[in-house]
Amino acid sequence: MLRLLARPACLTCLISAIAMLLLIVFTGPGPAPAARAQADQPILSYPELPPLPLVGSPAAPPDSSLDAQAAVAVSLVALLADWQVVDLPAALPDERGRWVAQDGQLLQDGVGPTGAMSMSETILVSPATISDGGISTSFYDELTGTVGLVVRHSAAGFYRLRLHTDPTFDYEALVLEKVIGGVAMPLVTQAGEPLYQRHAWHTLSLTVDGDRLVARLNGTVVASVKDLALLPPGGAGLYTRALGGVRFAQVVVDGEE
Amino acid sequence: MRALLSALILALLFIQLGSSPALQAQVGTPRFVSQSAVGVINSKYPALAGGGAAVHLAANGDRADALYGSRAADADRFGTLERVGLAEDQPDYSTASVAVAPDGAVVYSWVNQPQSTIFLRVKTAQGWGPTRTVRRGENFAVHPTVAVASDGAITVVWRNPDRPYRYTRSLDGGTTWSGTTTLSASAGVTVPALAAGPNGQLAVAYTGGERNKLQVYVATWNGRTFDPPTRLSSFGSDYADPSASYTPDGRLFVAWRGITANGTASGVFFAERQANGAFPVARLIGGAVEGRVSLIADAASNLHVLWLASASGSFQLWYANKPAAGSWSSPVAAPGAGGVPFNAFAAVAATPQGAVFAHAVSEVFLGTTVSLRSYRFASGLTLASAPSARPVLAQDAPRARDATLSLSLADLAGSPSEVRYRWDAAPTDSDPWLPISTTSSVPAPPLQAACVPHALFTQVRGATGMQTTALSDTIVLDTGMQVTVRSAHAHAAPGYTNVPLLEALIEDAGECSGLATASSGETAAQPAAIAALPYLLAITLPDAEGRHERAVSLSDQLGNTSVVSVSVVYDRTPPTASYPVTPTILADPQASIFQTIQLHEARYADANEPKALPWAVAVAVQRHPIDPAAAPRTWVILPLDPALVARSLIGEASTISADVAINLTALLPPDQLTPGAYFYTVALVDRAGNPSTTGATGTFTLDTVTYATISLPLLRR
Repeated sequence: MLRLLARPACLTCLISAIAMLLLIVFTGPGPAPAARAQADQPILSYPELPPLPLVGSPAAPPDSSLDAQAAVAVSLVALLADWQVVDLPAALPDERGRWVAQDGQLLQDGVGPTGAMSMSETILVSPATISDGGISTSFYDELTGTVGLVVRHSAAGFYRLRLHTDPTFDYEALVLEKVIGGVAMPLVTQAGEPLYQRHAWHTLSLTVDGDRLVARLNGTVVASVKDLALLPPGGAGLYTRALGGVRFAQVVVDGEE
Repeated sequence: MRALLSALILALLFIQLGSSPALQAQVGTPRFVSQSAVGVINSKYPALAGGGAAVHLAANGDRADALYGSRAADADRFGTLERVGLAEDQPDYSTASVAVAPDGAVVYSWVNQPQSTIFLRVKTAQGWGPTRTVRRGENFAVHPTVAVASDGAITVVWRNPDRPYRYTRSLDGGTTWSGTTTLSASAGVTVPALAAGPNGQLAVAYTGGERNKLQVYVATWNGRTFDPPTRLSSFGSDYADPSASYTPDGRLFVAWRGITANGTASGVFFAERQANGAFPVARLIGGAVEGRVSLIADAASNLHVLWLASASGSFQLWYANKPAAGSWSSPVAAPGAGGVPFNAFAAVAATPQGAVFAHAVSEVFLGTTVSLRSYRFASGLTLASAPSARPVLAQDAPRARDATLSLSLADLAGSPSEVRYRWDAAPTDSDPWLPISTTSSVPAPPLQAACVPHALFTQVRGATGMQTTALSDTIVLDTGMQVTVRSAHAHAAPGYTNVPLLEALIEDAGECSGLATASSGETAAQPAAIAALPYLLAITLPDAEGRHERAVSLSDQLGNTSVVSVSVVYDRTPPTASYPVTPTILADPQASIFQTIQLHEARYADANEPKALPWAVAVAVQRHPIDPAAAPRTWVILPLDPALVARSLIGEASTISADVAINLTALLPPDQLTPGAYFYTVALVDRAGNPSTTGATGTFTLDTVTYATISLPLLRR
């Protein structure tokens, strides 16, 4: 029977089969038949689009962004296994900030298992308690327009540095603030042109030296302020909005107690 | 060779047939039209629904309100958003959903987390209806999603964190709800999507977890419950955020996205249910896609798909469509307008002329704020030949009383040949299709005496398709008189008179057609034409004491008639009374114009009604002494409050004590209200209004004349 079907003896049958194939290909108003699995080429493609204004490749931070003085970077495994996700405001268990490894980097990937985009703030906090010292990282913002760092994170509060590329309500480009009980008190505010560009690697650090907090962007001090009522030692962390578009690499924490 | 030619001709014939019966016509390629801010901040998960030549928006606003707005199919802005209810607390979890019913009503559901309650309201042409409770006491219900099936059944689906989706249904427009039923086997993820189709069909598409992968499922309603879901995606990767839509002829489509940004599992996927229940999957486009993929089938079975993708390096809203008998268009995008758009939701609407537009709304994050942005695309498709008609009952009369009403169809479009109808709800498949030529009249619903508005919904169809939204005409059915008639003499108790006249007072009791005439059954005169209610119809009686009964004939403007029997007791004989104890006077401490005359132990007897209490007192007040024998007196009749009357019955006479409150301004002209002596006479009055022939007299003195003071509330600005 198989042999019979396989034989090209029935020319009419073959022609009819070709005709039916044509019929299926040209008349089907719905999706393609089952034979065209989802692994096939898509039906549509996007039109030709202008190239991205990339300053650096998102694949890896340039060597120059490495801090020669830095200690050994925290491994991706440790970042994902030991560091804690803190969402502001608190989120449902299945809608928490999603931090994943991608291409050897740490990617903030939205919220929840689907990586849905959310405007929620999300922080990845170190388990180590840090007094003098702080955190530094390289970051690459593909999308979000908000990136920052956190130090002395504990139940008593924390310090947060945030940089913005899009106009905020007060046109802030940088805010260094002290957050206690969910209330933020600005220590340093800089309005105007953004201090960093999307689609480029930058380095960012936030350290505590005595009673002074110092923020550096690409090695340049961008904020420095004394706080005479210093918060107690706590964790250090990475900060952004959970829109799924910021990559972090070379995360270094120093000053562990 | 001949066989080859025959087969090819056959194939070409099928190709031609496949493209000809379309309701649509491709008039151009899809293009972006506009995008604009909606004017809402701190809003999450906006939702849209198309219907009635408009799209309808549901969104929470500023952590406080469930907001609603709509715009015409060819409009670019939503008007001022209406506040439908309270949607407090974190906006991620106080979301709203909207759907359009077959009769064009807008059905809006939202959740209020502090109250742990899902609510629903329905907006008709008469405005928003009352707030209905869909479900109270859920632990933390999020993302309630509403749909209305073609049979009018409302379904609401939601989920609790880490729990399967649940649903409840209402068959009475949201007034009552079924118990809740679990929909999915695994915990729900993100927002479920509902789709309503013809013949009461309903489908729910959702994201769930299986084998440690996110997968997309669809389940269809079987008339009693949802059938077990069908998994549409494959375990090779993660997929999420589906939507579903039915074509008018009942074909079900589902679209979703791949979670990954690259590779063959990325992009937009869709599937159509086959006759055997299978859903062969097609990949529409690749690349990174964010959030819900909105797939909508319009009235002509054209497919419209909208999604957010970062093909250009930043997220943009993309749109493509597929004419019912054509191929997919190239995707077009809304240009970047600042900020990061996400959580887009789309719908489709057609203008009355048939031009189809795709609308969407998304959240946009900019700086530190999230707001809403709306989008509009022209599809390049038109439904110009869609059949449509509007019913007109009884030549558009506002009211009718006939068991059969004339029906005509207005605003005809698309050459409809058949019509089906139903009273007070959109037609369903249980209503037969009738040739339009045979439907010049329709039987009215069961007639009631009261004025009851009824809406006749009609739906037409023709060779080019079926009207998608049933239209209606409302008429008030009135087969009775809504008036009351009673005997009401001005100075007698109801049903009594002391003059030979029956005064029949005709009062409105919801008469919607307007009273036309009234007449006494005994009079030969023409019925009185009634201009307004209440109306007093005077009927002369013979001068003979006793009960008299007369028939009053009534008719309204619509031709309804009724005859009402009215009776009155004619009694011209005054009661006898004596007043052995001088009344006492109580002055009002607030105003001296108010006095209370207290009658003590007056002897009262009424020969016609021995056991009846006096109905009233007759009071006269003068500034000079009263001669009890003087006549005539100018009485003011004051009905007695039975609660202030005490009586003891001795034989045929009663001993009456009563308090009579008087207001001097009603008894004397203003120039006589001066300090000094006042003289009064009080006589008991029977039910027919006859005062006793003698009265109790007395005097009181006012040192000053004081009036009541009215204190108005103080307004402060």
